[in-house]
Amino acid sequence: MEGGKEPSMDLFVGLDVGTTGVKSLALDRNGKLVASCSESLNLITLRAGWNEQDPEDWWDAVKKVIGKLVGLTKSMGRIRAISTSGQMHSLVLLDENGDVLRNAILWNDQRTYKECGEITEELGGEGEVIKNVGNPILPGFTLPKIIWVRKNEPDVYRRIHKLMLPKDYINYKLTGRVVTEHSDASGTAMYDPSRFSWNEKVLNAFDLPDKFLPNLIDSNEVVGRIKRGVAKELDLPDDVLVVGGGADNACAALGIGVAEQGDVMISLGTSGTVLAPTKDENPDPKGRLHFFSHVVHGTRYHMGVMLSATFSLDWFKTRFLVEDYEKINEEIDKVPVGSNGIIFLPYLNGERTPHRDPFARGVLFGLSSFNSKWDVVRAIFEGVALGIGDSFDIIRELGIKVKDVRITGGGSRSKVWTKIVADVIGHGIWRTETNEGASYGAAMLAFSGFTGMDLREIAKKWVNPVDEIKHEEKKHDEYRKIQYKFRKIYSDLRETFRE
Amino acid sequence: MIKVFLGIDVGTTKLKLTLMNREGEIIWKDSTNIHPIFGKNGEVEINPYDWIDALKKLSRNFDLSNVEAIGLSGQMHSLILIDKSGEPVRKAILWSDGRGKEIQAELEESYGREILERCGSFPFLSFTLVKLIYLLRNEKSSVERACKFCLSKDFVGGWLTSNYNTEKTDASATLMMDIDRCEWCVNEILGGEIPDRIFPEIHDSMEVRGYLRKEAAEELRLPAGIPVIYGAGDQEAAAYGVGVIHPGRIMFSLSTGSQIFTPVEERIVDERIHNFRHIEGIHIMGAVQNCGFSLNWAMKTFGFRDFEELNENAVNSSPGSNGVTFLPYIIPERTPIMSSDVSGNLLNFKVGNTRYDIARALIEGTVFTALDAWKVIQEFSMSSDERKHDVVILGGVARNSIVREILSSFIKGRLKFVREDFDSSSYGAALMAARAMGYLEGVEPYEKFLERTIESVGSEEYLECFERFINLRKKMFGI
Repeated sequence: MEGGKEPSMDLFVGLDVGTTGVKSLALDRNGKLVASCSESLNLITLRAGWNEQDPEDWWDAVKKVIGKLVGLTKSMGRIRAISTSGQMHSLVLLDENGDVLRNAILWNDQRTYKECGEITEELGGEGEVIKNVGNPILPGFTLPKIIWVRKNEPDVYRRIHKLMLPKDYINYKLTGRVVTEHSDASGTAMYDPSRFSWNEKVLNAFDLPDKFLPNLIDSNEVVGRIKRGVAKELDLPDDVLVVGGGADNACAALGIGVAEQGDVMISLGTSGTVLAPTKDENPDPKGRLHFFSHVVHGTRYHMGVMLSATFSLDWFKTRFLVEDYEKINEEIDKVPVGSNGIIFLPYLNGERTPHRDPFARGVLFGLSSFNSKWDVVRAIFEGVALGIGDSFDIIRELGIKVKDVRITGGGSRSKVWTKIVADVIGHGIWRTETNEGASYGAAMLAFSGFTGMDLREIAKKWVNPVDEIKHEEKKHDEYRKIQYKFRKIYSDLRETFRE
Repeated sequence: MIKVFLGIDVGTTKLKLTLMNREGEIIWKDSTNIHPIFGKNGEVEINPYDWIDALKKLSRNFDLSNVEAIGLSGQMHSLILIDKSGEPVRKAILWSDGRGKEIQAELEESYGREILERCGSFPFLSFTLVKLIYLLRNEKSSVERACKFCLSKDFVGGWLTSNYNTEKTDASATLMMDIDRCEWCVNEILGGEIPDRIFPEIHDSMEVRGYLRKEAAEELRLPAGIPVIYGAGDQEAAAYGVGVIHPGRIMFSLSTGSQIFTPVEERIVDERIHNFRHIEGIHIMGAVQNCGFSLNWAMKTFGFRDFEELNENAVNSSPGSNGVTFLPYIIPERTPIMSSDVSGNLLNFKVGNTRYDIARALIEGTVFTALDAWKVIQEFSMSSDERKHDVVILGGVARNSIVREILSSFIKGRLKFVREDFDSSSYGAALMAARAMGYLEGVEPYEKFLERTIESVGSEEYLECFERFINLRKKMFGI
């Protein structure tokens, strides 16, 4: 069945349930994009920092995109399998009838600040926490949300039958089965990535019944066949398989072929991530990087997160620049490495990696009378790259030999920016032919679940690195010195950010 | 015919003239741009004849046939070397020239204290002394060819009268003069590095330098033979022009740079401030480099069209700029931190900060930098805290409404804002000429040119923001 000439192709659908919308695409057996569409979602903000969504809205949006995909592809082929990537950490609660108990509390909800401290203390301090769940407890994670519900909504808590993550809810609606898989489970703070299992110690410490937790399956394992009624409603064949799926970051990495140790994904989006799959069994003991399970069986990954990546440039642009991105790129490319002395700290939203400092702020350092506007703008590009470099250095410090770096996200469209990142990290960076984000990785999981093919093999076949942006050693040396100053400015100012 | 007095100010970017009548009213004023030459190594130079050409050009714009006397003022510190006939042996090296950092460091280290005690200021790059030593070491032939050095207004005065000598105010700003005895003393400190023959005579500012040469008079269409007064450095002339002559008053100018100027009974030995001779007695001065110059740079860099647009944005933010702080040190700073190891910094902005906040931070940072120097001078000024200050405020930056709000929140006393179109230095030079001729004694003609006066009791409103500013600067530069 190779090639796309048959009157009826096999199609594989990847969904991505994000915060702002649901994306979907359908691929053929060669990973070629056949159709795609998306639906937007609303965020329910109850008060500053309290962010929720109604799981029914996700499901409605999913039904709409699948309906559209079916319409778009009907004459071309037949959908064989569906898999879903989803926002991590967000808490969905079901009662014993399988009904949603309350709105999902989202990953970007900040109400659980207090609970995080209590949990950390209860578990014996941060070192113990990291040992047990691979990460420090952050307000975004799932466990503090459950504790918050128990404290503040005891009636809801009493009726909990199952908890799950957003994409699991979609799987549940599609198949009637409640399961989760390792990549999403590892973001709950109730899972031990070192052992690939739920963490009994944590569950016991907080008296959480085992029955709350769904069974764990592999990300490319089949959850089940689509429910007959749903198939009918969506005009799908009734033998469509639903495959486990995964956390959005992990799916995005898989989607550009970042599958095993030595591969690194740099995502230069609104926020930035550096994701490195690893054979390591243990997290960074200092907790500077996240440590989660990958969607590739038996693999984990370290991940650094910077909160304001392309956001930094957008922030500056909307306030101070009238030029378009093309012109901006052209101009900053003329400015030498180091922006003629200016250094930008990209901490407009505080910073996660490496500082874990919500109070951190943006800084433009080193302005001189001879500087031009473009020096300042280049400093912003460089500051973001230096933030990526901070995560990258920790990954290397953990002993991972980097072989293949790939970039994704809006910022990767800028060759200049990618080159700056390459020079900062001292490693070439590949741009890939398809760059469809997490839903592409999800579709790979669907294909793997349907065919039984190994994910690494699929990644090698489907993902084409087309454009390597090489680094220059001389520039890397210069950025080394700048990186030192970049870090020093932060440590000099750290206290003042809190005032 | 009504007799009038001509004031000439030899500025860095402009040559300005003010024509004043015997009542102190301005009959005419005019200015023309001067274009210094900037070099790759920080050179800022000019051909001194550009000043003469500018003067000739302006003199054609008005009937000057009834001028009775001429007064002069000029940029301080700039070095001109002339030969016997008054011809410059090389271009003038202006005060803002960036060469000689290593000489500054050497002077600071080896002679800093002694120079401060005898000459009145701690060594800094701008001073004539640094420029002279720079030439001695890097371009000795120029010094060998010279028979004398002079300062900007003295060159113009010399061209007018053939007398290129200088007077106390400008001499004190070379950092080579004993500030008490008004005699050159630098060779006693440095051990004779500078040839004795090149020092000009030091006269009183109000003395007659000489009489207008016939050739010069013809070129300028001025009456030949009229007296030309020595004049003063531009700061002293400006202060003279706005009545800041004796202790008890302060002049606060905020333009390209900022200066805080007050006459004192006795000089003050403090590294952060300058002691210079005034027309009479001594004054202290804080000099701030990063004022309108930095604000203008930042404004353009962050895409604001002009000061008006900057201000329109800034008024939409609130005091403290919602947490954003601008340290405007894009060039080396003098009072009070005296350091070239500084830089501009925009600090602590976050996602919610707007263009308004940044605009306001730029303005606030600029005023705070000037107020930082103000605080030092205020300590030593005649007015104690109970006694309110009498402050004359000058300069384009002080036109800004937020700047005024902050100044009047900080400064207790009577704030007199001078009209923007009033050029205090050339007016002061003309006033010197008038007084030297015996007119306008005992009156304060500048009061005609006040735009408004604010009686301020001071407030705490900006105190916290100012302290945050100072703390952040200390964090960044350790000073």
